[in-house]
Amino acid sequence: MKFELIFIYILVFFSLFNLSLMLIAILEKPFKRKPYKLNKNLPRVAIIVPAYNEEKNISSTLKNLLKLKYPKEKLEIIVVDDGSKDKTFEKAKKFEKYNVKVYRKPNGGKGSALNYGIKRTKAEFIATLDADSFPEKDSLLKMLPYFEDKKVMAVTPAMVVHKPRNFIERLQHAEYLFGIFLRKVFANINAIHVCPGPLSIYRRKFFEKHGLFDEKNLTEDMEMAMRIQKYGYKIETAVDSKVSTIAPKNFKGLLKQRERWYTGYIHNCIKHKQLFKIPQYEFLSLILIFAYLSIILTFGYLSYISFKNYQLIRDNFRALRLVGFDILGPEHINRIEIIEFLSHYFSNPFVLLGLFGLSATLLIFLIVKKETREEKVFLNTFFFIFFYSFFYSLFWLVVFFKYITRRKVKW
Amino acid sequence: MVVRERQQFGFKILLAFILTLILFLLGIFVGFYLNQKKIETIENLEKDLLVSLQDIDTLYTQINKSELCKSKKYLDYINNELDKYAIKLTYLEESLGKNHEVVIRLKKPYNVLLIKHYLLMKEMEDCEKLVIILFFYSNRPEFIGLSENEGIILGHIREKYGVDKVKVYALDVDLGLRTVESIKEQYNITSYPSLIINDKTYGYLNKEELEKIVKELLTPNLS
Repeated sequence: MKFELIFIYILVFFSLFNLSLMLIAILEKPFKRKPYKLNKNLPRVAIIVPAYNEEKNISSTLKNLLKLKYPKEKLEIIVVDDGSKDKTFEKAKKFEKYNVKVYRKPNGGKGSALNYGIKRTKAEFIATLDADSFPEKDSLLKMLPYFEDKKVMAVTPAMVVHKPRNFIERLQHAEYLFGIFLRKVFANINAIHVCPGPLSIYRRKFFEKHGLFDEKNLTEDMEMAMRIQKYGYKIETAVDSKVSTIAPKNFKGLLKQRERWYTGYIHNCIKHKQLFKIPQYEFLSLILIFAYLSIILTFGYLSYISFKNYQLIRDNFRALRLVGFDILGPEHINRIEIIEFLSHYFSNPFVLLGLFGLSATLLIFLIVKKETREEKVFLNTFFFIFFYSFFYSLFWLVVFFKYITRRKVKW
Repeated sequence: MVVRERQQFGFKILLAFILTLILFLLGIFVGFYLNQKKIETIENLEKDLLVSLQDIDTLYTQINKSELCKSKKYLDYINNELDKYAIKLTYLEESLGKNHEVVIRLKKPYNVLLIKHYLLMKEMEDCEKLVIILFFYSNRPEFIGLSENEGIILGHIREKYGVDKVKVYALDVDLGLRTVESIKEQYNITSYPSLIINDKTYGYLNKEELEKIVKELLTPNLS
């Protein structure tokens, strides 16, 4: 009784602290668009599309890229087929007449494909784009102005899930929307530590000074972001530049993706452990530490909820057994009991704080919905609020288990 | 040497901390305030009930038997209010603990009111068929399991056969109330749970046993 109460107090305090931090960060630089112009002084940009067995998506991805608003002579599109076993290469070849460069190399992982592409261009800015992602027409124009700040080495867009239909996709849709807000908060306190694969733009100079992508890394995009942070540079986010990406459609696919992400996260945290030095890396260190704390607290929270529900069910079952499962009709439902229950329930400060947190979450979704012009957000938000923590802790549980037993996580 | 832009880290953390503390303390204060309100509501309920019961008590001394039966409705209404009291107490028990001094302090007048109501209800036995159950329970570790079970069964039977026909008075024997002690002595009750159903003493009864007794008492006499 005492222990669970202390745990709840810690949980509430931690959540409120996160909320306050987010509020302070977001108020400093609210969602604001950087003005852009389509003029002659635009820099050269190369979009590198690493592709492995993407015959289904490669054509539509390239078609979409050709529609990008950007001067043709300043834009290179490079497809690197990473030794696909299907018709990816043949399909991409058909776009050569539109000035798309298509290369083929033996399979070596996404990082190696990206590096292969980077070595074959002289462009000042390098955009990496997954073969299953669809940026909006003016994405580049909206993202590039952030490079005016010479310290900015990478710019990330607002990612959304491409046409979410089933439960798993909808859950991710809401997760990504929440991620957009979080990324903006992180940008304001210079704590972005992932440059998502669907689309990220890097300054070429950084690769020249500090090396190309780590070809052996499970999450090379995260490694690159952490490296940028390590050397004291900045990563920005353009909330109004929307990229939709195809997300895993079923539980198995999602689990596989998350195993890779979270294991990569652990590995990269170890690789760049100096990022945890608070005096030097300030908010970034704090965010990395909080990420681990939130996993522990989510575990604790879910066990607490499960235990409470177990007790509730056990007590109800005991009561039913005592009365021989003689269930009385609805006319016996005691009105006083319901009223008293509700008044008791809603006068619990934890319930009130929970409602406060719920409204803050809903507000965040409303803001992001407005910024991204995404539709049908309500149902997905509902899924997110009620089910996300289960999935999140389940994935982490699997990752921790595999990490401790040293099982290999594959791409 | 890595040069990162400074971000007023200390200041912002302090600000966030203060904001958190304000929200947190506000939550605790609201909780404390609401709890206080709950206790006040129970105390007010107690005063109102006492007045109502004394009102009926006085009424009894003035009217004759035939008119007495008309006040059953009023007694049922007070019964309803007593139920409210009980539920509020249960929730208070849940949040403060069964042995918290405030719970004990509020439980005492509740038990006194129950006995008062019980004595008034006994006068109604001649008016219509009633099952009047005195239920003695204890929260001591050796008795609490069966006491809770009996409570659940009594609540069920009461709902099933109608709260206006089956009257249950649950008395906590650990409060040290003189009236409870005296009834206990009168009926020779030493272990818990114990039931007095229309003046007959029983120990723990399961659902079937209790239901049988209640059914018998509620069937009209044909003789």
